[in-house]
Amino acid sequence: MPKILLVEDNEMNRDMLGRRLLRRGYSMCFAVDGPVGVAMAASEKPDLILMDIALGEMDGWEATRRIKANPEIAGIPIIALTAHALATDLAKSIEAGCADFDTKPINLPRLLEKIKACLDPSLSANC
Amino acid sequence: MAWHLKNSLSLVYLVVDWFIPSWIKQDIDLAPRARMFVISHLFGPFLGHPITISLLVIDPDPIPHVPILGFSILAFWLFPMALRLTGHYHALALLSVQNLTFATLWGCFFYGGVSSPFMPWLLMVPLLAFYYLGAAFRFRIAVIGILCVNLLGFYAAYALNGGFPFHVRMSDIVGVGMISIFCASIYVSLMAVYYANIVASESDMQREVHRHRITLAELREAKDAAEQANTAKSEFLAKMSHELRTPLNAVIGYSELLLEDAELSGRGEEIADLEKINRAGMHLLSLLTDVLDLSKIEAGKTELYSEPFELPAFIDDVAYTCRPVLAKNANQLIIHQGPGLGTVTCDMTKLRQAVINLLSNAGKFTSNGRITLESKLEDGATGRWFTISVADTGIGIREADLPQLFQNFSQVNSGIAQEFGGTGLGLAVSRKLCRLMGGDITVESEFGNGACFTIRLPTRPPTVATAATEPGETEAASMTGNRPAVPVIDNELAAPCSDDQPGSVLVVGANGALSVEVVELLRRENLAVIAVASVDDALAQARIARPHAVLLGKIDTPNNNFDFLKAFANAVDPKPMPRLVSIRTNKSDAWIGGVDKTLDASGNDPQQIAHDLLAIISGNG
Repeated sequence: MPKILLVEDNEMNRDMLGRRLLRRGYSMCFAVDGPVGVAMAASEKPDLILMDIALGEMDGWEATRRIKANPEIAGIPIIALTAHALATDLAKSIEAGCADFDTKPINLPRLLEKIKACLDPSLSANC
Repeated sequence: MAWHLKNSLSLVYLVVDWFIPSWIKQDIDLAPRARMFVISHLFGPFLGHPITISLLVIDPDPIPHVPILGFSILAFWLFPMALRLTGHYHALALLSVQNLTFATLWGCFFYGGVSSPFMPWLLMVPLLAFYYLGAAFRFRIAVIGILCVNLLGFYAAYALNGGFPFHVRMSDIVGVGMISIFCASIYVSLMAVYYANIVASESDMQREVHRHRITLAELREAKDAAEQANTAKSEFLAKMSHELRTPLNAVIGYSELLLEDAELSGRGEEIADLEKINRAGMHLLSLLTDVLDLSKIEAGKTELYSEPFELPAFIDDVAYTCRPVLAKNANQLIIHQGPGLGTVTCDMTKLRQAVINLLSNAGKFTSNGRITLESKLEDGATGRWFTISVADTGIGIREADLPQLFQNFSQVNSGIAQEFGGTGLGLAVSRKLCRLMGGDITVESEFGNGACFTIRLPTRPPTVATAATEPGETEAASMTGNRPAVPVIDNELAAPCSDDQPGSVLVVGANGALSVEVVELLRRENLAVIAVASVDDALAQARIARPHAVLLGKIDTPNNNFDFLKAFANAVDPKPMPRLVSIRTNKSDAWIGGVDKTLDASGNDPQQIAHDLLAIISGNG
C-alpha cells in the first residue's frame, strides 16, 4: 500500500488522521515539525505527503519549498492542510509547489478523494 | 429691548449685505470691513448734508463752492452701488478716502481756513481709512500719500489765493460749526460702536473656535479609540475562533473515528449518540465559521478571489454537495439551467458558500416538498448578470419578518432556532458576501407558501483591473481560464463600466457598508461605478476613466485632504474636472475643503445619498 508522510505538529490531529488513514490501509509515517518533515521526506521517500501549514517556525509552505528544491524527492505530491479556507492560502500553497489543498477540520471522504487522485497520476494532471 | 435691537440690526445687515459681492462675504477678514464701508457710506451723507443745507442758507453767494461740496457728499451714496457692480473694494475705499479729504478741505478752505469748524472731519480720514483698508503697508502708504497731496493742494490754494476767501463772517458760521461738530461726533461714535462690536464678536468667535478645536481633538481621540477597539475585537474573534477550532477539530475528528469503530463492530446504540456529538460539533463549527466570516466582512478584511469557472458545472456540483441535506426532509430537488450559461468570473468559494446556505435553508424549512434551483443569464443596462434562485414550497416567511431576515442573528423567532437549528448568521453572511462581489440577494415569500431567494451577480467581476488595463486584454485574459485570478480586496469593489453610459462615478474609499450600498444603488441607476480604496488608485482611475463625479468616502491620505485634491486636479488633464463630492457620515468627520459639494449623510441612508449624488451628476444638485 502507498506510504503517506503526515507532517503535523498537533498531537491529537496527528493521532486522529493517522489512525483513520491506517484503518484504510495506508502505511503511515509522522513528522512533528517542518525540518523533521523535510528530513523524513528524504529518508522515508513516501508516496504522498500531507503537510500542515501552521507548523511553527518553519511553516508548511517553506517545508514544501525545501522538499521541491531537492530533485530526489521533488516529485512526491504534497497536499496542504490549513485551518483557513482563504484564497491567499490556496494561492500560496500552489506557489510553494503543493499539488492540492484541503481545509481542516478534515472531511475524510473528500481528503481520501484527493489522496487517491494524487496517487494515481492518470486521474489528475496536477500530480 | 435687546430683542428689538437685535432684529433691527439683522435688518440692517440684510440691506448692507445686498451691496457686498459674495467673494468678499466669504472672506472672513474683509467681510466686516466691507460692511463697515457700506454702512458708513449709506448713513454718512445724512450727517453731511445738514452742513451743506445750512451753508446754502447762510452764505449770500454760495455758487459754485457749496454745490460742489454738496455733490462731493452726495457721491458717497454711489459707493455701495459701485461696490456691488464692480467689486473693486480697495480701489473704491481709497477713492472714498480721497473724496472725504477733498470735501473736508474744500469746506475748510471756504469757511474759516485752518480754524474752520469742518476741520474735525479731517481726523476721521485716517480713522476710516484704517477701518476700511486694514493695516497693510501699501494701504497705509496710499492713505498718507492722499492726505499729503491734499494738504499740499490746500496750502497751494491758500498761497495762490493770498489767504482764505471769507464768504461769511466767522460769527455767522458758529451754528453750522456746531452742527458740523455734532454730526462728526455722531459719525465717529457710530463707527466706534460698530468697530467695538466686531472686536467683541471676533473674540467670541475665537473662543468658539478654541472650543471646537478641543472638541475635535476629543472626538478624534474617541474615534481612534473606537477604531482600535474594533480592530482588537476583530483580532480577538479571529484568534478565538482559531483557538476554538483546534479542540473542536478533536471533538469532530474523534467522534468520527469512534463512529467508524462503532459501524465496523455494529454497535447501533453508540452510533446514534456519537452522531449527536458529531452533529453538535459540526454545528458549533459552522457557528464559529459564520462569526469569523462576519467579523472579517465587517472589518473589511474579506478577500475576494475572482476566477473564471463554468456555471453549469458549478451548479451541479453544489446541488450534489447539498443532496444529503435536501434528502433529509424528503424534499425533491429540481434543477433548471437557463440557456447560454457558460463561464462566469467571481469568487467561486464565496458564491458556493452563499448558494449552499440558501439550499440548506430551503431544505431545513421544507418537508416533503419541492426545491427548485434555477440559474439564468440576464442582460442589464450595466452588463451581463447571472441569477441563481432557490425556491422552496416550505413554511414561507411573514411579510413583517422580511426586513429583519438578513440581519445578524435574525432567525425570525427563537422557536425556529430550536426546531430547525441554524445560527441565524447564514443569510447575513451570504448577503454581505454577494454585495462584496458587486451583487445582492433578494427574497420573495408568501407566508405558508414557500420562499424564493435570488442571488444576482455580474458575470464578470467588477475589478479595478478592468479599467487599469486595455479592455481587450482583460477580456482575453478572463477567457483563457485557469490562470490565477487577481485577488480583489473588498474595498475595491466596482462595477463594469462602458463609455455609452449616462454617467460614471469614482468612489474613493469605502465608508463601510454605507459605500457598498451606495455603489449598488448607483449601479442600479445605470451609472458606471468604479470604487477604489487608495489615493493612488483614485488618481490612476481619474486619469483613465474620466468620471463625471468623484465621491469621497473615508480616505487615509498620507497628506491632508487638500494636497490630495490638488494632486487630483493635476491628474485630470485635460479638464473638465469631475464634480467632487464628499460624504460626511457623522458630524465628527472632517469637512474637506475644495470639494464641490458635501453630502450630509449623517442619516446613514444610502438611498438618500445615492439620490443626492444622482442629482449632482445630472446637474441639478
